[in-house]
Amino acid sequence: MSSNMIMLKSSDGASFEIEEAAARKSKIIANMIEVECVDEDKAIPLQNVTGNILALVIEYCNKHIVDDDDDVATEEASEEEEEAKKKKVDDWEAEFMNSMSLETMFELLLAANYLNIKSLIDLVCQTIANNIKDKTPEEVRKIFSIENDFTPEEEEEIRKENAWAFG
Amino acid sequence: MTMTIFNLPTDLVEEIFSRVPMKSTRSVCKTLNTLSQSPSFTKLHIGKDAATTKEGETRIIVLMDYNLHLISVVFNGIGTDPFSEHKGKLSCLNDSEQVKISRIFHCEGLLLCILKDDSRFAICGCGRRRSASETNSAASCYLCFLYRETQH
Repeated sequence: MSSNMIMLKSSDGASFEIEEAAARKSKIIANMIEVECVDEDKAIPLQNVTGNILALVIEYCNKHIVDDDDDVATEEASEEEEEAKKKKVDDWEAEFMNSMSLETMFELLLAANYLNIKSLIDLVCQTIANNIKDKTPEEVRKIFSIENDFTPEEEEEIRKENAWAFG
Repeated sequence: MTMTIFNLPTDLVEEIFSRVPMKSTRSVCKTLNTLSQSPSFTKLHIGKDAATTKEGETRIIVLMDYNLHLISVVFNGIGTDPFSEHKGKLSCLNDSEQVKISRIFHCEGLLLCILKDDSRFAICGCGRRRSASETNSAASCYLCFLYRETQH
């Protein structure tokens, strides 16, 4: 199988080779390829992404390009097969995010935003949101190292406004 | 240099917090309280909520036992079993302040609740908090008018 490979270079000088199809997950890189900005012998410099984060982005893109190909090939796949495939991707994503520190998630989110990879932005945001959605405000502050800058009066005011809610 | 949530651009912070209940966002700190009231955030938040709505699902607010209940009804046409799910109940967080509601009126996403054994009333945004807009203030006026009518 011969597919076009392109080179990406991180801000700290590490080079990565990636299939063009996988790199197209990034709207920015896809655009560069469209307007033929990409020289096959030259790496695309990504000034805002460090090597360790770029490695994660590439891992994600490689995984998802295979899935997208499958979608085209098996249009008539049964519902069960679709479900099984979706579950496989979900499991992989859960595993991928599982051991990541919050700081790495923030950096990955910034990289996904810079490279414009919508599905990765969604994945990281949802993972962070899941970590905090059932937490008390105090626990949320602790997770994000945020200081409580409300006066007791202001806190009471918000508590009252929040009092009327479906829950 | 450690990276914190507020090193992220605002639109990404909004993306994250639009996926969690508003109650837990607002009380964290001033920055998030302000963010949760911005029009762009409100729009995202409502959008995320709508995305979780199932096909054929309708959400209705029902007055039962002097309280309001949010109920989701799913019906996908003849031949399928409709089902309903209790999504929540309107409540004051502090039980001692729990009120009894005897009648409700609605207009433009706002609810007017007439309280039982009490001359007070409450107007609340239906479902999600909405940013103040002209429709909302017009709707508030209309509901205040209705309230006065019920008191005569």
